[in-house]
Amino acid sequence: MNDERIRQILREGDPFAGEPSLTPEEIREMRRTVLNAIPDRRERSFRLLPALALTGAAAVVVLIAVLALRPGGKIPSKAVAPRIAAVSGPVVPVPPSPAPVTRPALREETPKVQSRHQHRHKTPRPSRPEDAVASLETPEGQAETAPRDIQFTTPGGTRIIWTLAPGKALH
Amino acid sequence: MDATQRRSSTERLAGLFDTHHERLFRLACRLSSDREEARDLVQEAFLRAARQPGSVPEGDQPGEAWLVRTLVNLCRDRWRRLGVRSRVHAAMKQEDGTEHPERAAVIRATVRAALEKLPPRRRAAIVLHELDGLPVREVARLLGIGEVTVRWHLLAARRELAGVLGKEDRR
Repeated sequence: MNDERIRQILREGDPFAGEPSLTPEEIREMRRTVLNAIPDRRERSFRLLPALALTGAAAVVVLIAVLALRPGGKIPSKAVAPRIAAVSGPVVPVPPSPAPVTRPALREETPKVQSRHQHRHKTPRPSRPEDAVASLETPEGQAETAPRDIQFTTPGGTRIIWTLAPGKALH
Repeated sequence: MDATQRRSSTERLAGLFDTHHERLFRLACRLSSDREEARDLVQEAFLRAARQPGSVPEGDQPGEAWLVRTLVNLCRDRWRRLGVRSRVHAAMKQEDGTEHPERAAVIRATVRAALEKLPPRRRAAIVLHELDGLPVREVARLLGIGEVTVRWHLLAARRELAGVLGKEDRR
């Protein structure tokens, strides 16, 4: 079968030959449909509004979830044990509490040491909490009547000093 | 898109529709299986132009080529969706000739079935060249491909059509 014969058969059996053209009504309707489909910016933005709201809400939820589930989110990153130290010997005066009877004598004995304790915080601190607990016990050879200072350092850096005077009852 | 742009797009699309809808419908009838499908294809091609007015090139001829390419792409999408099995089934149903006892109708059904076996771009090339009578250069411009490619498609289409139409011709 040569090209000319193929062309002849194609033209004899042209699929469009048997089909009626578009009617004027069909053309009008199609034209109206097509021209009405041109998008309007306002319509498009209103159509996008719910999608934008949903996207924003999802982003907020994800952000909250990430912050809450983050490894350092709620648990402190470094567990810092409070430092506790017990110091025997000279007593540091604490302003509001009334001075014990023994204090004047102690103050007279070691004024420089007191000043150093109060302002420069040179008291040796235990490096571990176990050391701190151990140091609460009365050292050997220490008289039970001697007043003691217990110093705490909170993780925030606040320093607390308790003065324990033996023979003085807590009220 | 503000009011001026919208009006401009509407006028341009209306012009394209008025100038080319008939020619596109004729091509769609030759590329599809029936008139209703051809009408849907034409409308869908113009709707794509309406939804994305910026994608249609300026000028009458580039606009026409864009519409033809869109139509061929729509046919290709449909062709892929249908799948080979249903196409062969449809072709065999039309080839048996029981629904169209007259010779003209039989030839038309045979040609339609033979064209449906071709891939859409190849089918468009042979239809535009053999039935619309367009030169190769014009077919290449409308389909957005090279002239060499058009000649290759025509050669392959004639070979495939000869296989199908040859059997009918020998009856």
